[in-house]
Amino acid sequence: MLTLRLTLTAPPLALLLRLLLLCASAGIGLLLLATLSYALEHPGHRAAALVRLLWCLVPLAVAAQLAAALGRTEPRPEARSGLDAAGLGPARLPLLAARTAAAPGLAGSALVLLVTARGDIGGLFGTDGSVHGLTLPGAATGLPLPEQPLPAPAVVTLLSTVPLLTALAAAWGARSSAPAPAAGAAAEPGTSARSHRGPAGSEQTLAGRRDDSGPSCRAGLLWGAVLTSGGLLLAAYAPQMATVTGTARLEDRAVRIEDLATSPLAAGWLLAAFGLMLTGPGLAALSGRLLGALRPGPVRLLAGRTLVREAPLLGRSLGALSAVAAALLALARARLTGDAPLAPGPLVGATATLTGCCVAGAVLAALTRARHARAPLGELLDRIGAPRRLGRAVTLLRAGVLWAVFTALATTAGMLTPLPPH
Amino acid sequence: MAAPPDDVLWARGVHYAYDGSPALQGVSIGVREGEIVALTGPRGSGKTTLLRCLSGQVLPEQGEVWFNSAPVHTLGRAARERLRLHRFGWIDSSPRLVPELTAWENAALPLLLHGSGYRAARRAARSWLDRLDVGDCASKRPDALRQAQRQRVAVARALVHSPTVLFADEPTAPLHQSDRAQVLRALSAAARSHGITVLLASHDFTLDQAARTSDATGAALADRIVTLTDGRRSRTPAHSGAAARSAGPEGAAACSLSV
Repeated sequence: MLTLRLTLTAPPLALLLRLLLLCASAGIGLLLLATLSYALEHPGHRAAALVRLLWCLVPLAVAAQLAAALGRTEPRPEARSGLDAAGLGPARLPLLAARTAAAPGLAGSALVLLVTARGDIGGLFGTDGSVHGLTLPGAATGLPLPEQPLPAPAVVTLLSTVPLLTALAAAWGARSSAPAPAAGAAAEPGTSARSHRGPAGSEQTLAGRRDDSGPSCRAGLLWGAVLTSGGLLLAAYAPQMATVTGTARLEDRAVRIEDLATSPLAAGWLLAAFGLMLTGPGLAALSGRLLGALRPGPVRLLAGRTLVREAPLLGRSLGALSAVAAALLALARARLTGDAPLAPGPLVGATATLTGCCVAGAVLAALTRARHARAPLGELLDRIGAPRRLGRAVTLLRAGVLWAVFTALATTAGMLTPLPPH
Repeated sequence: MAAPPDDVLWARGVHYAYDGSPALQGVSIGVREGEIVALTGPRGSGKTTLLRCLSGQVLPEQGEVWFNSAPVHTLGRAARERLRLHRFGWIDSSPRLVPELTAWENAALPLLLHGSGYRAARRAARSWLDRLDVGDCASKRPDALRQAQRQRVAVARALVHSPTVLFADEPTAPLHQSDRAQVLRALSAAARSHGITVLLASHDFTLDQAARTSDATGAALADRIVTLTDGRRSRTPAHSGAAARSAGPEGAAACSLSV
């Protein structure tokens, strides 16, 4: 009941994210079932089926990231202390987050189950394992989906992965040791009392723990740069290898997509996207440091330093978003220049769109968290009488710098991404 | 009606309510220049609300607030922000330092907001931190400081631009007894030496004579004690005693502290 109430009274952003999670769950469920159907149709092609299954991990990972962001954002910080007082403390809060995140995942999976069973729910619980009612809704929706009957236990197992994974990810995000903003570390009476109570040694470790975000950001930047360039290089050399082995069959688009999925080109793209995501925090922290350097005025000082502090919060999601933007740019380049544009199937296209939306949703959640973290600063500026336009200028400058840096990153990556040969 | 000329801050019949629940019910107060006024009363008696009304953070629903013979209650938001930035200082019960700025940058924030140069602001902030005995922490982040040190940085931030009036809302609430005495002594000594008017709110002024002799309560450092009860001023018998005692040995000791 508490889960339901917290879901119904959630702010619009949380409801939007849950809706996204529901859609993502349904989309990934259909994708998994299509993979199962392919494996049943082609019992000989084990490697191809395995590659398809592995590609399902990408949207799964993104959905898990969204669920973790949801677990970090919801319930809101002001509601958390009340829940803590009521007995839903740091130990039990992950359970609540898991339940609230599993609900939309379950709803999406149930939707897929209903569609595949075509209203014949009774058939699910029949005595024989293979139920003829369970097929992908290709004919009903007019989509080119396989019409292979699916075994019910496999369907239920596959469909339960998404709710399970989102629940685990949300619990992981809501755990008390999750990376929290050091927001108002000195401003909040609770945290300051905690650090005050401890002896000098624990204060040192507290300070040391906060200070080591710099090196970790730098290491992330380095690793991200290495992975991105490695991925782009791999993708650049992949077409040559493909022409050497002669696997590119241009006449059949479906086969071509499949070839693409198994080629080093796609692996390079994936590696580069992962690298971009790792680059995010370091890049945001670096731009914040540069912004606050060289005798800054109050606007530059506050914008730069808050950017450095919020880099671990925002960086990953912004890096992932720039990877999505780079992919869109590469797609646009392929459409403009290529005479044989990429034509993914409807299911793959829908799942890719949903994945992009999930990444954007995670960015929204991270931005909300960052705004919550900045609230004490706004209160302080109001107390000491800073003009309102100062706060607005700080926000605008920070947003502008982030936008410029990550747009440049996405544009560079998108322009450098090698396209499949035509 | 113009305010009496010798009162730097003057309020009459101030009423304020938070969403219908009354916090102040007709409080009048006058503060002379250079005076240290202790505002006392139990929690919920309206001390913080009165300070917020007097400093122009909120507008009273009824009543008037005057600063230097100019009305505050009729000013717009921007004008009140300017007033707070240039003429008032504010110390909260928690330090409320910006965690990503170093101690001296925190202390220099009002000067930077005034538009002073980076170097001048750093010099002024460092000198104030030195005077308040936290000069060696100037380059540390608030995370690395002890609570008493953080509160002193907050005091430096409130004093760095030499305000006319300093509002201190329970500045010693999160501190231990020894730290309380230190912070209050530093605060009052700095205010006396610079002729800054101070309004000091605290709920733990013990009004018996024995406690007043120890300056851990802050009452010993004040010229005058104003007591609030349920949003109204209440006159206590100890009130006149405090005023008479203000020139006593403890007050003189506080004044003679070199800062």
